[in-house]
Amino acid sequence: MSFRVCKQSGEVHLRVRVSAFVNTKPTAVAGWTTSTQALFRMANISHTVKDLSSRSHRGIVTALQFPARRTNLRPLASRSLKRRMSSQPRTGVVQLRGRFSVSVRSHGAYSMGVKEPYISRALAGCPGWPGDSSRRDFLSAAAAVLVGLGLPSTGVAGGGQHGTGGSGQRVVVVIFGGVRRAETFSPEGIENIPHLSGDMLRRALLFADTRNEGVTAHFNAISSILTGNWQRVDDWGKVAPATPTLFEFFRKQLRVAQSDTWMIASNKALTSLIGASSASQYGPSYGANVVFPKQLLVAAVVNALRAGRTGNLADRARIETELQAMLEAGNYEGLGWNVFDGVTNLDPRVRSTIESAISNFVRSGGPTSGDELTYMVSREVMRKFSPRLLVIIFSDVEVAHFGSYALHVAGIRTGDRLAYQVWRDIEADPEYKGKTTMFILPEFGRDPDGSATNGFFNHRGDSESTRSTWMMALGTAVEKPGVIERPVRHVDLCPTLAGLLGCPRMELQGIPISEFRV
Amino acid sequence: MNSAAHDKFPEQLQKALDQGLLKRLPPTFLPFTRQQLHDWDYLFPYERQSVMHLLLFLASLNQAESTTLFREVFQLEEKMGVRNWQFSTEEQTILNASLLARSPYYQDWRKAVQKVFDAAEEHAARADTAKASRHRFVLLVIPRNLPLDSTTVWRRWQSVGRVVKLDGTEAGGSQSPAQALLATPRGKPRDGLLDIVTRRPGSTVADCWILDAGRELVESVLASEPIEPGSYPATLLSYERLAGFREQFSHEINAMQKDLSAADAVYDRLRKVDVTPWCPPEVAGVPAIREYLRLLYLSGNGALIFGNSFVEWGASEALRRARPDFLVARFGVRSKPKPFTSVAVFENPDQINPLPAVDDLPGSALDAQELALYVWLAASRYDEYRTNTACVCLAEGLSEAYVIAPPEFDLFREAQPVPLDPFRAVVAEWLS
Repeated sequence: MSFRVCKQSGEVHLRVRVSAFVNTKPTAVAGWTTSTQALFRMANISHTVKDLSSRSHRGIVTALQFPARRTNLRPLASRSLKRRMSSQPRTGVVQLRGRFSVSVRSHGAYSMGVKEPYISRALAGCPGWPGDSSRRDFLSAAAAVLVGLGLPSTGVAGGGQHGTGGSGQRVVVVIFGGVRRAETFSPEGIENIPHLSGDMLRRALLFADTRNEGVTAHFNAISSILTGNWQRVDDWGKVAPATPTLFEFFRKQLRVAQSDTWMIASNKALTSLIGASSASQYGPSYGANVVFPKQLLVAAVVNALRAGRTGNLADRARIETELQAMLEAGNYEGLGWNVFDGVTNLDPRVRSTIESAISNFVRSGGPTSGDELTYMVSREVMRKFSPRLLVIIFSDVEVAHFGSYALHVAGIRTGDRLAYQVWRDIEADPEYKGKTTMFILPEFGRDPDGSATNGFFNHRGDSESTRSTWMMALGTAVEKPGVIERPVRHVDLCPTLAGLLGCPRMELQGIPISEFRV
Repeated sequence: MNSAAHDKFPEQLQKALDQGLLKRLPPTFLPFTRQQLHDWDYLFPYERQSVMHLLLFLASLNQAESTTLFREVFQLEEKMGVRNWQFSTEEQTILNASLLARSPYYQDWRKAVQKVFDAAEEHAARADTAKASRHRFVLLVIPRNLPLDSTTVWRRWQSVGRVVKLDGTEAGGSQSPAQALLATPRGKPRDGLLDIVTRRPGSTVADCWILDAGRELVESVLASEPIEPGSYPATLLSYERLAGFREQFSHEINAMQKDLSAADAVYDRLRKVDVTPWCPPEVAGVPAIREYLRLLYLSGNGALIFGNSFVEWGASEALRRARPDFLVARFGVRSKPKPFTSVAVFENPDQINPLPAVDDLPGSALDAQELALYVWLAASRYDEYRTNTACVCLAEGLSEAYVIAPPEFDLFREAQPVPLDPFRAVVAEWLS
C-alpha cells in the first residue's frame, strides 16, 4: 500500500495504491476501507472520488469487492479495472492487487503550498517530519491504517510502498551501449537518430562532449554513471560498485521505497550487483530493483533449444509460453534479477508486470529484439510502479561486437525510437508529466575506423571516438533548450540527478552540472 | 623450457634465452613473450622474425640500456600493483587482460609498452628492408548479388583512391569477376595470379591468402588444378567450408558461464583441443593455419557468427601476423536475425529456429562496404603496405573498382572501362 500526495491544479491529490497479499478474512477488507475513511477524517479533509484519467488506474484489482456504498470511495473508472475474485476457500485468504486514485480537496491547514510530499517518509517510520499538526495527524492516521491491516510499515514484499521524500521530481535515464558520434550526432549519422535529432532536440539540452574517462567496458561504465565515481571493478559484474549508487543515496537519504528505483537493462554484461554497491552502510538493502528482460528471452531460447522445442521459437504464441515458463521456473537470480530482494519468488505485482510486458512484446507483431522487450517491461513498470528513479539500458547496438555494421546502425535506430517512446510515455502519464527529467546518453563511443582494436566492433581504445559522446536532457529541469559545448563527464550525472531528486550534496568525483533547474 | 623446445629456436635466440633474457623483462611483458615462444612452431615467418628482432634487440642491450628502456613499464607496473594481482606470467589470459584494462594506468602502460616495441622495430627496420619493398596486392570483393548504390558506395573511402570502371562482360556464365581474375589465363597455365605470387623467392603459403565469406572462390581455386595435399598455393579459408569448426567452437563457448575463471577455463580447453578433425583438407594439413584459425575464433570479433566478420577480422589478423604479399577478401550474404533469437546466443540460428533463413541483402551490402574499408585500413597501419601496395575494391554488381595504388600501378590511371583480362594482366605485372 502506498500513499502519495502531490500538488496539482489547486488540489491535493491522494493516490492510494494497494498492492499486496493480505492474509486476512474478507471482512477485513471492509476494515481497510473504514480505516481509510478514518484516515481522511483525521486529516481534516474531505474527499471525493475523482476520475483522474484512465491511465491513472490501470492496475489490476483482484478479489476486492470495493464497498463503495459504505465508504464513498469507488475504484476509479471501474470499467478499466479488472476485478477478479481469487479467494482461497480453505483459508479465506484474499488477494488484493491494484491501484486506486482518489482526489482529496484540502481544507484549512493542509495548504496548497506543499512542496515536499513526505507522506511515505512517515509511513516508513521516519520521525520528525516538520509539518503542521494536520499533516502530523494525517501521517499518524496513515500509519494507523497500516497497523490496522497488519502490513509491515516498510511496505509489501520488501518495498511496495511508494516513497515521496525529496524534491518530488522524477528522473528517467536511458543509456545506450557504445555509440559513436559518427553514427549519431554527425552530418552522416543524423539520419540514424531522427527522433533524437528532431522532436526531442528541439526541447532538449544537448551536451555535445560527454566524456567517459574511466574504463570503457559496460559494467564499469554504467557503475560510474550511477555512482558519480569512476569505477574499476570486475568487468563481468561479479563485484558490486565500490561506492554507493544513486539508488542507494536516494533510498537511504530520503527513505525512499525500493519500488521507486528500478533498473531495466538489455545488457548481458550486467548482473544484479549493478543495483547496489559494496560500500559500508549502503548496499543491497538500499539498492534498486534490477531486471534483465533480454536475459529472460535468451534463457527461454536456450531452454527451448535444450529441451528440443525449437519449433516453439518460430511461433509467437508458443514463444510466449516459453517466456512464461521461464518466469515460472523461478530462477531469477540466474537471470541476474533482483526484484524486491526476491530471487526465488517474484513479487506478484512484478510478475503481472512482466507478464503483461511479455504479452505485449509477443503479440504486438512488432520487432522482437532484446531492447523491444526491455522497453515493454519499462513501460509496464512505469505504469504500475511509477518509479521516481528509473534507469533503462538498451543494448541492441552491441551487436557491433559481432561485426555487422548494418545491425549496429539498426540498433541505433531502435534506441532512437524507443527513447522517443519512453519520452512520449512520460508525457502521457500524469505521474510523470511535468515533473520528470529524462536523460539519454551512450555508455561510451566505439573505437575509430582503422584502429588496432577493429574500429566500431569494440570500445577499448583511448581515443576521442571511444571516450567522447553526447548526452541529451529534456523535461522539467531543462530551463532552456540548447547545445552545451563544454565537456561534461559521466560521473557528473550522478550528483546532478541527486540534486534533482532532492538528495543532500555528496562527496563524489563528479560535480553537478550547472545548467539544470533544481 | 625443455631440451626439445631448445631445438626449435634459431641459435642466436636460444643463446639469448639461455643467458636469462626473460628474467630481465617486466612481468607484463612475459605472457606475450612466453606464449610466442611456446607457439613458435605455429607462428608465421613474419611473426618469428618479429619475435626474433624484439628479443635479440633486448638481448643486445646492456643493463643500463635495458633499465632505461623498461623504466617506464616497471614504474607503471609498480603503480598498478601488478605484483599483487593474480597475473599469469606464463600465458595471456582473459583475467590478465581484464586486470590490465581496469587499471587507471592502463592507457599509460599501453603507450609505454608500445615505445619498447617501436624501439625494437626501429632497430629491426635498419637491418631488414628487402621483403618490405616487394609489391603487394589486396583485392576486396563485394559480390554482385549485394545491392550497392553507385552514388554512395565509395563515400566512406574519403577520396583516398579513385574509381575505375570495369568491363566485366567476359566473365560470363556462372563465373564471377573475382573468380575470373583468379583463374589461370587461357593458354598460360602457369601465369595465374596465385602462380606468380607463389613463384616469388622465399614465398610460403602465408604470403598468399584468400578469405571467402562463402565457398565459391576457394572452391574454384581448389578445382582449378589438382593440388597435392599439404601443397596448397595459398592459405584458403572459406567461412562455409569451416562450418564444422565453428559449430564445435560455438558449442563450447555457449556452455561457458558468465565468469572470468570459467571463461579462462573454456579458453584454455579450446586452446589445447585438437582441431584437425574439424577442418576442411586445405586447413587440416597446415598446422600454422589451424592454429591461426583457433586464435581467430577465440579472439571473437564476430568471426564465429557472420561470414563477413570472419573475412574482415581474418584478413586483418593475416595482415598483422603474416604480412602477406597477396590477399583476397571476398564478402558475402548473411541472413536476417530470426525473430526472438539473439545473435548473442552462439548456437547456430538455423538450429535454434526452424523458420527459413532469409537473406539480408541490403544489410550485407552495408556490412561489406564498411568491412572492405576496414581491411584496407588494417593494411595501411603497416609500413609494408603504405607505399608498395595496390588495393582494389571490386564492386561486382556495379562493374566498378575503387583503386588505391601508387601511380605506377597501371590500373590506377585508366579512364576507360577496363576488361578483366587487361585488369588481370596489370595485377600480374605488378606482382611480377
